[in-house]
Amino acid sequence: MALSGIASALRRIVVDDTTAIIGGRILLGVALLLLWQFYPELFGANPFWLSRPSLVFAKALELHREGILLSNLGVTAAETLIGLAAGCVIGVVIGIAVGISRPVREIFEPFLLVANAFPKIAMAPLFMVWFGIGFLLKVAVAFSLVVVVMALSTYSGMRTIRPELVNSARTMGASGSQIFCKIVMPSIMPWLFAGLRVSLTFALIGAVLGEFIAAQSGLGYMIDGGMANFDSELIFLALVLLLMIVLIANALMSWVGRRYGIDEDSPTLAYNS
Amino acid sequence: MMNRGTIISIQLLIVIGFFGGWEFGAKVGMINPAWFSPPVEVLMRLAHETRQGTFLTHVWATTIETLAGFVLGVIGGVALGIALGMTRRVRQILMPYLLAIYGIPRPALAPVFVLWFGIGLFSKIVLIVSLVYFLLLIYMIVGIRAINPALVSLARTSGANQQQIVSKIMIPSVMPYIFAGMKLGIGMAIVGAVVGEIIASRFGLGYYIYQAAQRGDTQGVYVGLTALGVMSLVLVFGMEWLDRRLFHWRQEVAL
Repeated sequence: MALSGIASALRRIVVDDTTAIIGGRILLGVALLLLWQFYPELFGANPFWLSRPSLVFAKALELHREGILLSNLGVTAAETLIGLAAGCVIGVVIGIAVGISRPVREIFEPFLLVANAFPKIAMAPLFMVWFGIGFLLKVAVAFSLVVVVMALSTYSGMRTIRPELVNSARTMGASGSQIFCKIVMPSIMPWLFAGLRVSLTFALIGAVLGEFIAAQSGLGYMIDGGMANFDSELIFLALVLLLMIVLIANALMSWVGRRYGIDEDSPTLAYNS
Repeated sequence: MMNRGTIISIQLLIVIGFFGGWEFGAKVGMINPAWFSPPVEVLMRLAHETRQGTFLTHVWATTIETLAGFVLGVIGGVALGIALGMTRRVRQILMPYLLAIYGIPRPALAPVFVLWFGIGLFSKIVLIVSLVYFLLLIYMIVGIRAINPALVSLARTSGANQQQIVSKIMIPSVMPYIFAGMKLGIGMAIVGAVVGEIIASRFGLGYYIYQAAQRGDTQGVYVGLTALGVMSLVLVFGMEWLDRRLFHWRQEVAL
């Protein structure tokens, strides 16, 4: 009896979908970490190429003792957030302005599409000419990526607003600000949210790429410095931190989306950095 | 309601007004040409540079990197996408990892590829493949999951063989997803090429722009940006056009 009980429990573990999937995911994660740690012994490879978790962790402690781990993180975070905030505000204003009425839309839509197709990242050297090699350069690169995404997603949201709704509200005597608050904002909210999700990563990419061009601190500086000095621990530490920021930010956005019932899966768009 | 002619003339007026104002402002000294080179001079320098061999080498380098990385990334992503689309369990286990890899800001990997593969063409192609590959993979997985199982069973009961099901149902339903991925992917490929060239290179438009900026040659920066702009518009809107031509019967696919 006991044996058949164990057998059925085993079968449940193997067959049950969620158990198998989650178990498989954890096993794969552990296996990947072990592989990363022990690949030099396993394959006789030079640990320089991918570094190893233990070395990366040691590097993190070392930088923390020198007091430059958190300051590097903070610099990149500040550049990202300021670029993100400025890009969101300006982008949303542009998106609303372009989407406000049909003639305006028809005239300005191609400009938005061209701005989306252009590789903004190539403007980073131009920003270097404009703003020098300081903090503003990284903010500008982050801004340039975010502003187009936000303008385009806001604009796409504006296009989904049904004109009957606006007309009937107007007929019933709604003021401009009432129409904006009660119809426009609720309609474009999911689009703003979807745009913000993409923008978070884009702002981070912008800040890091700005730091590649010229910097004295930040995660991009760590990566670039690691490349110049053949210090792979430094590079992989910065990459691990970057990945953690992205994953945490995405999880946070998903949580906010669920918490406030913003349907985050519906609107998505094709953006170019 | 405005007709097409009116819209296009207003758009032309805006473009002419913008560049005309820029040119005029620079000429009368309202705009600092050290920051905003006058458009006419930029175009003349562009014409001059294209007559010399080196500039075209940069254009070619970027074009070849972009297209090679794009094609390899698309083929790889579609191939693994088909494999994963057919094995449900493996896909479910791998999915969070794929999304995590997809979430890595991959332009930030450029220095790693330089470290591994040097500053030549190859490291840029690897960077572009890393961008395009995972994008296509994810579009492919979603596309395969979107195949309508009712259609497949209907075809099977009506006596279709496996080959017919693949060619008549599966491929037509997946193609729009592949193209949606490719439309995004071509833009990413250009970004990858430019980032790779800015980080470490001896060729390419990204290199040209960056070098000009370092020399303080603003005009050169605008020349490079103009050439790059033309190239990206041709590639991105070319993909767009191809997609619309082939799949005008389908609703837009987005993830």
